[in-house]
Amino acid sequence: MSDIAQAATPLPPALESVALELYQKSKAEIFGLSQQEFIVIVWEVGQKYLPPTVTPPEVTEFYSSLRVEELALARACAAGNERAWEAFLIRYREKLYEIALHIAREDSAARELADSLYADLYGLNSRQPVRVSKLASYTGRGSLEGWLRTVLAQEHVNRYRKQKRFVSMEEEADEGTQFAAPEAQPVVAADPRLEGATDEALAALTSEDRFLLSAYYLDGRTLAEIGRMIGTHESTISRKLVKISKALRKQILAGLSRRGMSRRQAEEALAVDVRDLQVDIRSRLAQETAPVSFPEKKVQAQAGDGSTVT
Amino acid sequence: MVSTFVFTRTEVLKVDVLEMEELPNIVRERLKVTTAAAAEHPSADLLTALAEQALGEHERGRVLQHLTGCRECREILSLATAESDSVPAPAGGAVPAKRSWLNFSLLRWGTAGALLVIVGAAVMLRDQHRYASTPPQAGVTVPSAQKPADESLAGTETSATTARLPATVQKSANPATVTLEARKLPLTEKPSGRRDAPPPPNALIADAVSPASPDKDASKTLAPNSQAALSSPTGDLRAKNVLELDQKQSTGIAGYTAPGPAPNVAVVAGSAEPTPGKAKEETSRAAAAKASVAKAGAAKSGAVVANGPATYSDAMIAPQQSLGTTNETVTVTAASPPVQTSALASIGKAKTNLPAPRWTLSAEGALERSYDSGRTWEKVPVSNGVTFRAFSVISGDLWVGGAQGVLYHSSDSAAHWTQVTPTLAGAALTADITRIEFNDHQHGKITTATGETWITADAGQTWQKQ
Repeated sequence: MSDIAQAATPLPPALESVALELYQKSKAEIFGLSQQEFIVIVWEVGQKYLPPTVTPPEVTEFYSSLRVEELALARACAAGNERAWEAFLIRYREKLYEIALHIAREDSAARELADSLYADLYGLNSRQPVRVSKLASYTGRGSLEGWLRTVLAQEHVNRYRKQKRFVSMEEEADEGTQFAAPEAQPVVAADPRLEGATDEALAALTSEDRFLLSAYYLDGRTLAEIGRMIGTHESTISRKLVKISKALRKQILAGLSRRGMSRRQAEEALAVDVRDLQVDIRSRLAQETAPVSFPEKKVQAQAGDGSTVT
Repeated sequence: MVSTFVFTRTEVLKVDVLEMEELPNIVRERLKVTTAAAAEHPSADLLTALAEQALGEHERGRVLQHLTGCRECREILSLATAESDSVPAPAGGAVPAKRSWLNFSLLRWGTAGALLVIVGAAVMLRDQHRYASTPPQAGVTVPSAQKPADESLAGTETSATTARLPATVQKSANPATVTLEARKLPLTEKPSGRRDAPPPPNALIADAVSPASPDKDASKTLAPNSQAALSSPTGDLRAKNVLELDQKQSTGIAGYTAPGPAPNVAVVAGSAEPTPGKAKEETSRAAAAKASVAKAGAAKSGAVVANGPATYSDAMIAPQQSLGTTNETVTVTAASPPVQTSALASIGKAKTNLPAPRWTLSAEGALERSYDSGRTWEKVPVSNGVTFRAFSVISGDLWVGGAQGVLYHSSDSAAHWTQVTPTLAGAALTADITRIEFNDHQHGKITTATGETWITADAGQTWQKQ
């Protein structure tokens, strides 16, 4: 449970104004959380995420956007409230196994994954003297179900990494490279001006634009997958990617032009580089022909003869 | 991209993908090098909030910045948001992912679903009407000279209307003219393949007429020696128009000899549980029909037989015509607003306006229901002071159970509840119910916290224990 002593700290006026409303909305009383205890939890969430320079309306909006009902349930579970655990199990017991199966794609692995998460949720894996449930780290920024999904995905990746340490080199070669395979050596552009112009154009992009490029071109994610990752429709992702790639090419050409290249030279520089990299992609694809653990992960690239290789 | 405006959406996406393949590979390589991930990975909270669009602009930018340089976090987020059947319901102030309601697939499937519901409702009502009809005495026939016009008219009706109106009325070449025709025909001579049950000798039920224009007349050909009743089959949704023809000769249809004396014709317009608005139209139409039937009383009357399909096949008509029976017709003029179509629409609307509710158990163990896909939930009163832990729903048949073996059953979508106490050899179920599974309305299984399994095969009347 939260440190009650912290409650002595004066709450921000914006939180005080919505404290009662949040408490009633959370139904935390059912799970034995007093208003003071609950508001301290909410206050801690605000301390964690709210930047120092934030206006009172933004503070109010932040607190109002929290999923307080699920936050109260999670924190009451973390505090060991039996009624809260009953409610949690009713809501999420079946879902947890379904999600685990969806991630692990194999029944026994899914059971193992879900059981491992339960141990975390009960605080059995805690190395601290007092059991600390993983649910204590839930802050209500997103849905509790979504949080459980993400935690399961994290656990799955961690388990894979642990297992990978004990896999022999032969088995690893058989299974192929997964999860952040060693990056190939970056291809050095023939002309440093091209490298500079590209870096300049990339730096001008927003973080979302760069993320879209990375997810699509480096990871080979589908438009639908990327759309789900950031909560945007796939058609929007498609339009944005087309726009970004066109703008990038234009910016790079302009940058090369500023660096003393003629238009024809700039286009040739880009074209030469593409041909070089196509050879590189072909060699990388040869390494990745072994089965991968995540079938939905598709890598598309342009082969040297112009055909699409999946 | 200009040309893609004339393509379908799928084609647009394909074009986009092809264009995106042209990204210079130097960009890919520099993207790996120039974007370094922050040392600290974003929490599961932030990744979830990103996918659910619950982050502010600044926070979103920071998380995306990290994701650009961290392949592991991208992998985790992709796994966590992989497509799945269950989608968390939006709650609180969090903004769900924005999806356009006006997308092609939604409209396509929505239209198909709506058509399915309308056709289903029409078929159901048709069946109800058929079974409600009393034993047959005569069938609907169409004179061969009139048939082509009938068929051409039938084609102008909507499929729903055709199905809804099982051809109790024949339309003539005039779209506003409806002819009810009677023909003397022994039961044994009726086509065996015919499914519609003919009306009784002195109470013939016909569906309401739906002519094309309310300003035009409907003519009905009535056979003598019978009473005719025009009524709508669903009293709760449509007003009934009852046309009774007082017969002077009670010999029945089989004993019909044409031409007979002009019968007393009486029209009775009644309504049963009328629908506001529609009922008024029906009543006024019935009144108009009354007047016109009274006018028609001076003419010859015929036995009304009206229960066949809207379109008739030659196979059905031929044997009847071969009997050489004589037709006598009475023209019934009735004001005829397009009530049928609107009434049908209201029926469909009444059925489709009520979406299937979603059910859940609240944190405090109360049964809750949502009619708006989980946006808002209303508590469903079952029993005070009981904490429920499991429930099962099969099309309006609900079972809900909880602490100390409390089990309730409702077969009418939670309108009424009955407490059920599973008992076997005097021993009742008293342990906490943790799981209820019903495969259909009869067969179900209940699991308790103590590991007991109770099984019923007769909707909870008797139980077996495992």
